[in-house]
This record gives sequence, structure tokens and C-alpha cells, in this order.
Amino acid sequence: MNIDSQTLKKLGRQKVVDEKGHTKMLSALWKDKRVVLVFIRHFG
Amino acid sequence: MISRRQVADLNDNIKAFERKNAQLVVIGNGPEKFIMPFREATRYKGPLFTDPTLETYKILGFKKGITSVVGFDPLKAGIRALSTGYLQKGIQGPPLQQGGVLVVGPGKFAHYLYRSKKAGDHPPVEELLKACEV
Repeated sequence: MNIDSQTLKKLGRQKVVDEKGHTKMLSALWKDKRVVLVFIRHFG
Repeated sequence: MISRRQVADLNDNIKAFERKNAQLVVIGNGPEKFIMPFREATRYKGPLFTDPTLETYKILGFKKGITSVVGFDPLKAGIRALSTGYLQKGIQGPPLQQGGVLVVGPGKFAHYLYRSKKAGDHPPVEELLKACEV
């Protein structure tokens, strides 16, 4: 696995925004379940 | 259009991820006003977010630069996306940024990380499903 715990912690503190403009801290997404985070190039 | 095609393909497999108790989450970049048109184009119904700062992409070390978007393979991927109806409607995010996939949780446990080397480079769905096995 090529992501260390410090990096994961830092990633978890980042905020993302949904289509309604609400922000969410990334770590909330994986707190209780396994998530497949697909980071896309762009929305176009 | 490559990203739209990628997410539409994943959308077809949402049930397979659910059977493994995993949730698909798509994260893009650029303003949130582009999320709805993207959702309509891909018919993706799951969680969809944007990171306008691109900080998450930087933290995960996702590739950026001209060599990741020129060349035969990105051209092939572009043609494939176009031929299945995913037309580029302007770039909604930095065009030279690549993405990837991270499988993580529950809790602070990362199980899989894939960094796309160039446009059109995505991990096979089977590999992602395998990463969801407990």
C-alpha cells in the first residue's frame, strides 16, 4: 500500500463541496464504511 | 468526455460495489456548478463532490502535465469516449490534471491507490471490486 497514515490523515482533513454547495470533510466519507474514491480529471 | 465515459462505466457497476458493502464516490475539480450537468450526462446517481482547490489531488500525488494528455493512448481513449456519445463540452477543471482511485475505510485504512498515468488510464472495475473484499 503506497499511502502512509500521515498522508491519509492530511487527506481526511480536506473539504469537498457537493452540488448544493455544502462542504464535507473527506474523512467523514470513510469513517464507517469502505469507499471507492474516484478522482476524475475534470467534469467536462 | 473521457471522465464522463469513465463514470458512466462505473455507474453500470454500482450494484456490484454495493454487494461488497462499498460505496462509490466521485470527486472532480472545478466549480460545483459543473456537477449537475456532469450528473445528467453520466446518469450517475451516487455521491458527487468537487475539490476546487485540487489539494486532494496534490496530496495523493496525482499526475499533472502535458505529457499525460498528448500521445496515442490518450487519443485512443478520447476517440472511444466520443464514439460512445461523450462529447467534450468545454474543459471544466484544469485540462492537464490526471486523477486516480483510492479505496479506503472503514476508518483510517487505505486498501488501494491507483494514479492515472495519462488521459484514459483507469483501473479495471474488477480490480476495484477486489480491493473492496474484506
